[in-house]
Amino acid sequence: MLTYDEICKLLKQKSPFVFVDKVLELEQGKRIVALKCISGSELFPALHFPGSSVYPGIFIIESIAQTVSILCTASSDLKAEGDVQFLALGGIQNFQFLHVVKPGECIRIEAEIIKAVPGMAIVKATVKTGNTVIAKGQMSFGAVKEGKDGQ
Amino acid sequence: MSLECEIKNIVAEIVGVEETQLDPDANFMDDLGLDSLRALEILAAIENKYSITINPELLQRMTTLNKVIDVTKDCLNSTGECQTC
Repeated sequence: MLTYDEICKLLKQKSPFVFVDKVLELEQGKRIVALKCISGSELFPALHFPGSSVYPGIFIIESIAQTVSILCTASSDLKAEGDVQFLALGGIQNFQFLHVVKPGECIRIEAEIIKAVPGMAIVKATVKTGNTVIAKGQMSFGAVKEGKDGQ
Repeated sequence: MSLECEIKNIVAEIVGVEETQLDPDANFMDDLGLDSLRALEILAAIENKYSITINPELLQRMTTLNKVIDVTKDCLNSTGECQTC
């Protein structure tokens, strides 16, 4: 299990743009289960939408992407000092949002690597609140070196 | 639907063109502008469709629709796990 502070050390993103609170399970190179609790004190409730707070789907995507980044970082030698690579989202395939998520709920992100080669990974993700699947789909990721144009 | 048509459907969707517009000999990277990540998505989609395992090293061969079809046929004709076809 990884705490929020340990997660922040693994991610390139910084608060308040860290969308994973805890890692519950991690099988190196295979799968990861993480948790993100949605709070009414975050920025989005007042804006999305006023009087009817809904956790933005794009933030769910970001939670998955960061969860996968943690899995890949913890599963490889990319932690070496001086490493300049980070994991970027390369594509989203067949993704569905099935239920809305509201402040006060926690989303459980389950991501499993379908295929991986050095520098790239395709992941199947399922997001749940309780036993209800609220989103699912496939995403692809590529490692990017800082200073490059992202190709 | 034939295997060729199924694979063409899969590749066209990932490439982002209509099936009728997909030249079976067009190079994914040089002619269609795909990157290596899209190529891996094609490989993963083929694996999922036919429940086979394709060695990622074969990505180097899977550079056109026709070559993807050839690799897939080779894998299906073997034990389902294609290492060095």
